[in-house]
Amino acid sequence: MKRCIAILLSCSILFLTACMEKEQPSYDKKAMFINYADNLIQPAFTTYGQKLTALKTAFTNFSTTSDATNLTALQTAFLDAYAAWQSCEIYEKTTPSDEVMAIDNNNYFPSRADSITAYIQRGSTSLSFVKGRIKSDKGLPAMEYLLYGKDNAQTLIQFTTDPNATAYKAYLESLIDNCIQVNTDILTKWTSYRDIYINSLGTDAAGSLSLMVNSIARRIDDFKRHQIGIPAGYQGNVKTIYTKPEATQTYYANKSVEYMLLTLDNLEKVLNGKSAIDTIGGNGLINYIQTLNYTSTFGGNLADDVLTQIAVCKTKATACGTNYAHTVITDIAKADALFLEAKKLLVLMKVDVPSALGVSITYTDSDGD
Amino acid sequence: MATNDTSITSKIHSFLFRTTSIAPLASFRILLGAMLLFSSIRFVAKGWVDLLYIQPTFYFSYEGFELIRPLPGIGMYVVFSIMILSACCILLGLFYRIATILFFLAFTYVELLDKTNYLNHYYFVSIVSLVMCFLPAHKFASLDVRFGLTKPKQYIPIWFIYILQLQIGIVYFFAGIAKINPDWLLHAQPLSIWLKSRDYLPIIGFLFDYKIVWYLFSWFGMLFDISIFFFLIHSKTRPYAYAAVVFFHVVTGWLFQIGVFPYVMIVATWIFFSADFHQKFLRLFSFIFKQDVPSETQSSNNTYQLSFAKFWVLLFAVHFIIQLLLPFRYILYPGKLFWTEQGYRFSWRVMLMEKNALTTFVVKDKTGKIEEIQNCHYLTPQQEKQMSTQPDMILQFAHFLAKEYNTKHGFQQAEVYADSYAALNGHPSRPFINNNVDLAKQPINFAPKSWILPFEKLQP
Repeated sequence: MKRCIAILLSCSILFLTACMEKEQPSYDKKAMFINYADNLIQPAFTTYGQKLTALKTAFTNFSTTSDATNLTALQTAFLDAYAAWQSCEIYEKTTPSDEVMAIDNNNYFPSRADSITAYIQRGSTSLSFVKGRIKSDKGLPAMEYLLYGKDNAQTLIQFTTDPNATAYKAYLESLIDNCIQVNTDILTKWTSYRDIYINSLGTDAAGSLSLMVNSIARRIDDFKRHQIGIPAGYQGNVKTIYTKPEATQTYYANKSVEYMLLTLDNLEKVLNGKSAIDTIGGNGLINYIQTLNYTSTFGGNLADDVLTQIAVCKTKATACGTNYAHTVITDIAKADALFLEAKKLLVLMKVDVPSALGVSITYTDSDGD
Repeated sequence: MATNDTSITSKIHSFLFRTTSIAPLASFRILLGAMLLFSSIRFVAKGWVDLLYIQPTFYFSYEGFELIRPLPGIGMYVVFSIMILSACCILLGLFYRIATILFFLAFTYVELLDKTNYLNHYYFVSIVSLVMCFLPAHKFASLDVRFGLTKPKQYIPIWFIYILQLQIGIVYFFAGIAKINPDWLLHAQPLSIWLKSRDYLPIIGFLFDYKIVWYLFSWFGMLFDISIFFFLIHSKTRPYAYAAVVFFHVVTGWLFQIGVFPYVMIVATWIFFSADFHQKFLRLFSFIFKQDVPSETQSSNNTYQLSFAKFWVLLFAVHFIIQLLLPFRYILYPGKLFWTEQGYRFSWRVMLMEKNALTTFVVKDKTGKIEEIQNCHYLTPQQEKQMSTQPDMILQFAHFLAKEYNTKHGFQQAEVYADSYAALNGHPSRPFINNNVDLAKQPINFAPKSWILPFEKLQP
């Protein structure tokens, strides 16, 4: 018996020393979440807020002096704000944005032109109606419709000599105000939520790791579905023969591919923890995944493969030219190619990444065993 | 030979039928009742009745139990009230027989409603509460005795205790056997993923960055599970074994999100302690039950006599044979068990997998209608998470979708295809379900599911 134990012990010591050698570097998750909260998330909403304020100013100027110059300035301010939003959308599933349904209030597209017009035709000049409107009647896409739905001469008429010009202005102002309101809410919530966020290091549903992975996965899902798939005629993953170019993001303002690239650039920045404050990065989710040495579905290092796949998506997006709505009509193969790569990126983010990190997608509070 | 036979029979007879103090059984009843009471209240307080049994529009029935449906309105709350009340009665030993039967029925009914809520310890609770229906755990230290509702007894045949001990032993032993697989022992999976993600924890968190710690946890867990039963039944090793039980469950309970399971086991293993120990323990409750620890010597008067004893022993023997065979049914299925999960449940396989999947469904019909399903329209997040990784649920959901689209969306003979990628225990994700197979045409039964893509074949 004693000899048995001795042999067992020495065997296990041998085995243990064998695997003692390799040590996984510890990753400072709290530092990562501080980086996210202070250098990326809050600044993104702050910047967006500033652009919205500028947009409001441009609107006021245009409202006072409704001429072509001020319209162009208003349009420029609008595009500035829309571009800034591309950096915010990725944080939808972090608690404060989720609570106020940031995407539904800011960027659900396509907007419903008929419904918006019908409301304006009633001549209402109320500024507080937006809260109750459905998501396709508000946010940046609705503004885009009002600012770019017609050519500039017609747009100017719409806001000046049209019988419902006041209602048009009121609708636009109300849209801007709602975005400002929602964004202020998010920023206010973040000030108190920040400490919870940087300290929720667990892998449970409320843990920040789970929130970040879910949030990024959701962004890629929307990217694939709304920005690429639906205009190209995809019902989810299934190709139909009917394309829907009018469902393209910024169908009127024609920034679709530009915003796709902004989305991907921002995704890359977020994963790398890069920001205006920390331009080198190295304190992000992908750096954490890098330390885990995980193999991806493509056979390479998971972290590398995610970044490579983003680069592939960029190439395929660039190949679509500048006008995605046009691409789906004239050269659908390019849209299909982009969709396929976005889908691969989604599998990496929704299956491989959560597996490597031990968090779940669509996680709820429940017991396991 | 004949004499040998009789001696073996008589040995078995004396092994099973010799009498012992009823105290362990009574104190097991009290602790079990307390545990059931606590976990039922916790379940309601967490809002899970609403989340799991009222909100869902679709339920994943167990094969053969499709008729078991949730009750409408406040019905489910009534069921949980019955559970709480009967757990209370079990604890107090009041109307014990009715209470155990009611608890067993209510609890098992709830568990049968939806596969996605399956947990091994729920299965354990179902079995133990069923067993308790047959055991005279209320014949001592109970309100039934105090109020004269039943005749007090102080001695029982020892096999009553053995049943409970064996049942607990089976849980541990099979949990240990299940850990003997390459993922667990050679790659420390999935523990390495889980421990690594907890390296932020105070004091010992830093340890989880060491490979050696993952392997130590894996191997210790396996050895603990396999051997603990044997260390618990021997009086010499028992105190250390119980300390190990408490340590093991407190640590796992602290590290992982496993609810009341650790406490259920800490309480259940109490049954291994000696009669003396339990008598001392029961003295703590004598102010409630007004019954003192037995001082009388054993007589036919104070001994619980079971009529048709041999019949009952045989019945339990059958129960345990089923228990011993059930975990091995997976052998009948081809492929990797953790991947196909055919024959996975009801086998005490706990904490063995880190599995994630993305499963989307497409419904088509002959007229060319096509639609991709947003799972969340029909399923709760918990259901979606469970369904995505488990082929039998994928199939059930596909059948539901076919029916839904045929009846509500005007599809003609809807075909349902699943596009699924899954990742298991640190292996990269790979295609999970053959997306060329119309799942609506695949039968729901226990036959091997040929449309699960093999784990081994890594596709480009």
